[in-house]
Amino acid sequence: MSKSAPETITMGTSGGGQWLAAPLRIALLIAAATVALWLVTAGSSAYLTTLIAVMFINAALAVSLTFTNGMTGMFSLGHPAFMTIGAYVAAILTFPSRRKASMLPDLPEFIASLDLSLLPATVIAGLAGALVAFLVGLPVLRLRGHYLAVATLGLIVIVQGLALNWNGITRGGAGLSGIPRLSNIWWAFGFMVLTVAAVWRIKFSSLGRAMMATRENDLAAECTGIDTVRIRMLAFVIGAFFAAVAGALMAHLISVVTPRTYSIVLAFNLVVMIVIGGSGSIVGSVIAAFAITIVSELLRPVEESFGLYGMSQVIVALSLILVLYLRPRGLFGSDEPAFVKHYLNGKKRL
Amino acid sequence: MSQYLFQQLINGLALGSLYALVAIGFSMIYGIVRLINFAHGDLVMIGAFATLGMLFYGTPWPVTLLVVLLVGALAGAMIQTVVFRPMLGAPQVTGFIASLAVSITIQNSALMLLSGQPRNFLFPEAMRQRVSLGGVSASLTDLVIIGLTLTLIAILFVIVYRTRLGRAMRATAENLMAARLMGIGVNRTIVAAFAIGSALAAVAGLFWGGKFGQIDPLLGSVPGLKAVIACVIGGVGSIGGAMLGGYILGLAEVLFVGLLPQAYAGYRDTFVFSLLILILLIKPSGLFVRHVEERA
Amino acid sequence: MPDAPILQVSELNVFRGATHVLKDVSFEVARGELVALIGANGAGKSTTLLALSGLLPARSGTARMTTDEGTIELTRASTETIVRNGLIHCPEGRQIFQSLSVADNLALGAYTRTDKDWIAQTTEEVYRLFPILREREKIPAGALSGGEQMMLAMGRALLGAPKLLLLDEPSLGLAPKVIDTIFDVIAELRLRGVTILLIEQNAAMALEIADRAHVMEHGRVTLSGTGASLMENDRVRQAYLGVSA
Repeated sequence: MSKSAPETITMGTSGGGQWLAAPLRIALLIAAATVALWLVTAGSSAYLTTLIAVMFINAALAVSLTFTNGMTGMFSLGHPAFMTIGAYVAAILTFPSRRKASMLPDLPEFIASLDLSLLPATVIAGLAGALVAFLVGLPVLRLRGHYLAVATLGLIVIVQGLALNWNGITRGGAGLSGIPRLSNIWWAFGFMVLTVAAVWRIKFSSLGRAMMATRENDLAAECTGIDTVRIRMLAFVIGAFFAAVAGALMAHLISVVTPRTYSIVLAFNLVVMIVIGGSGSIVGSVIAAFAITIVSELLRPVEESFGLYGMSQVIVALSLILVLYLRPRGLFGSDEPAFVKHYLNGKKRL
Repeated sequence: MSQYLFQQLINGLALGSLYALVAIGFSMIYGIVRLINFAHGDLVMIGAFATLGMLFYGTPWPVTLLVVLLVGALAGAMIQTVVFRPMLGAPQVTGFIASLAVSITIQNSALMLLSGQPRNFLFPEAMRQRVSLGGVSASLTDLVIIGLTLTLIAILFVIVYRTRLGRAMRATAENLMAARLMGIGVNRTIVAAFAIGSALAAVAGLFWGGKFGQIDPLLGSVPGLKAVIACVIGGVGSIGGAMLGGYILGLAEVLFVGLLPQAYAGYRDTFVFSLLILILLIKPSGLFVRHVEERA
Repeated sequence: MPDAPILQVSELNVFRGATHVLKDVSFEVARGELVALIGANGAGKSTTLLALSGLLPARSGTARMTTDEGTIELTRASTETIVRNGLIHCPEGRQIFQSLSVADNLALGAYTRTDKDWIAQTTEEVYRLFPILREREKIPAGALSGGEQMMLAMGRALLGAPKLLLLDEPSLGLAPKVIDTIFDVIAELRLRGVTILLIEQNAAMALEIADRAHVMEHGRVTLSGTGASLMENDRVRQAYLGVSA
């Protein structure tokens, strides 16, 4: 990569006049996608629209997980915990204040009197997730390999336990229902685009390279002056932010959240997405997320008509085992597919 | 000793027995292939349903016990051969994800075949009484569970420490290359460890049903996670440690719920997992282990 | 076939990862011989032994072991089969089972042997050769000193009833007195007809007791001859015997 090129997404070898084209191309791509989406939703049922929205959110989740896990080589299963936190925080903030008073008696006065719209609520939810990640990460990120995985699984259980029992704030097992349907497919789309853009930028920046270095070999990375502790924490916290936002958006999409909504199974499914897509590949995660969401949904009527609940889950699980067996690097490994880079640059090499 | 405390103690020991059986099997597997086998807990479910099946056909208890052991052993051997053996050289985390996948597959397959309805499961009338022991009474079910568990564990210790197979398993767990140079068929030895560990988990399923009265296809998650915690408490990769960890965990849970005010009862799992994370941070190799695990 | 060499290695190529470590290695070991492999670190000596005992796969080439029971192709047999047929590999660093007792370690050496009487007798012999092991019988092997561990490793090897014994750096890290003991045992084994393939950093010692020796450099066998003749060889003297030009 040429030293003189600015650290934007284009790093074509000819620098110079070429670099103006890329942002334009990206804008073009997004515009085209927006138009396509508008056309699709114009004639679709609410069901299909919601499905596509969920698909977008899943894609964003997968991308943020690939960011946390794939790029640094950490193994965190904690995303559902942050989603739960984000969902509850956002929902509590957007509830009309009179409802809050009656439903959630233990809520401190200053929160109960708030009545926020979706955007601030989501941002605060994201920050809440990030904060928890930071606090939890301080001790926990010292663990490695499967110990970290188990600890983050424990986090899911702990958060679920808190949500279940802290009745005064969370309404316990009943969860929060009747959450105002403030988010929709456009929010989901925007979120996905944002997440992809953010992670892409980071991936191809010096931070991203540092992260990949951490993944390859901790010790070697430290020797070149990379602060692996800080990097892992950064990856963990940023990933948690996105997960929390995803939870918030999801809650306002389907209007309900319970302590068990975001569980170990979801963590597993996200892992399947990034393994199939290629752990560390953004485009791979998106494609895999789309595919798995759609396939699971398509199988649902089959499950119902045969009374075989759980079949789609088995298929997802078996797919994972197959992929691990036959093609462990997934679709694209930790790279982005050539055609995407080609499009963004007009050049063969990034 | 007060009746209440004694009761809680027996209760805790019975629960601890269940956890110990599952934890020991888990520890054997971890010890020999360094794999956190998430699907281990589901063997408890398999054992429980196998018991139900046997009971349906009116099989006498001793036979049921043996059949459950066998079913567990076979299931474990199969899972190892089909899923984990091909992944032997892969990074640690791959095996873990694969075991998650196996767990989900087993759970959902059971859901598909058996439906999510909890089934009732009762030990015979004779077992469900209480027994008087010098002034205090205890549940016979609990006592039987404790007794049988200790017997099984004793047999296991004999196998592991006094037989050729046990020696081979310990050798393979410690140094795979050197074990191969002894002419040990390591693949077969690993399958044996899986089989024995899984058999113990399956028997725990038999006891589980008897103790809690209800079983369902998803029951495996709880013992699975608890086994991990028990092993971490007692010492990863050590059979004695796993046993100790299981009993400590059982007692801690029961005492936590028994001694704290009712309002906190629901926080039991939160407490237990926070304990797990705490121990992982302070002494990941376990509270009772002398030598330290290699870097994960 | 009593005259056939017990080991025939021919054009052996072994890779470790992407690195080509053994390049067309060929040599023979006759029955009852003590053959030494000497060379610098990284020359491929240990890799050779690892390939012979089946721990490393060979890319191409053959390694045939011929005993009274027949011939087996080492590059295509499992380690289990190889050990059962009498090839015992005592690896670099001893690799004893640290958490197992001395007795357990020895018992494992006899894993493939079925004759209980023979095992008991041989174990007795090992204890006679290395009395300190009897004293330490129940102690975890990890608590033994370096020299004691080497004795344990040799005792363990003996219990495998070796027809062909591969020894990788037996003197590494040991005090001179212990080394003497070990080499005495090696000499004794030769007298009993055990064929030995020996790797030694201490080239002088190796060449002294070896019938024949091969020098390995960068994965190839570059020089071969009797122990005595190699000791006289100028290149060997300069490179490995510390004699200046």
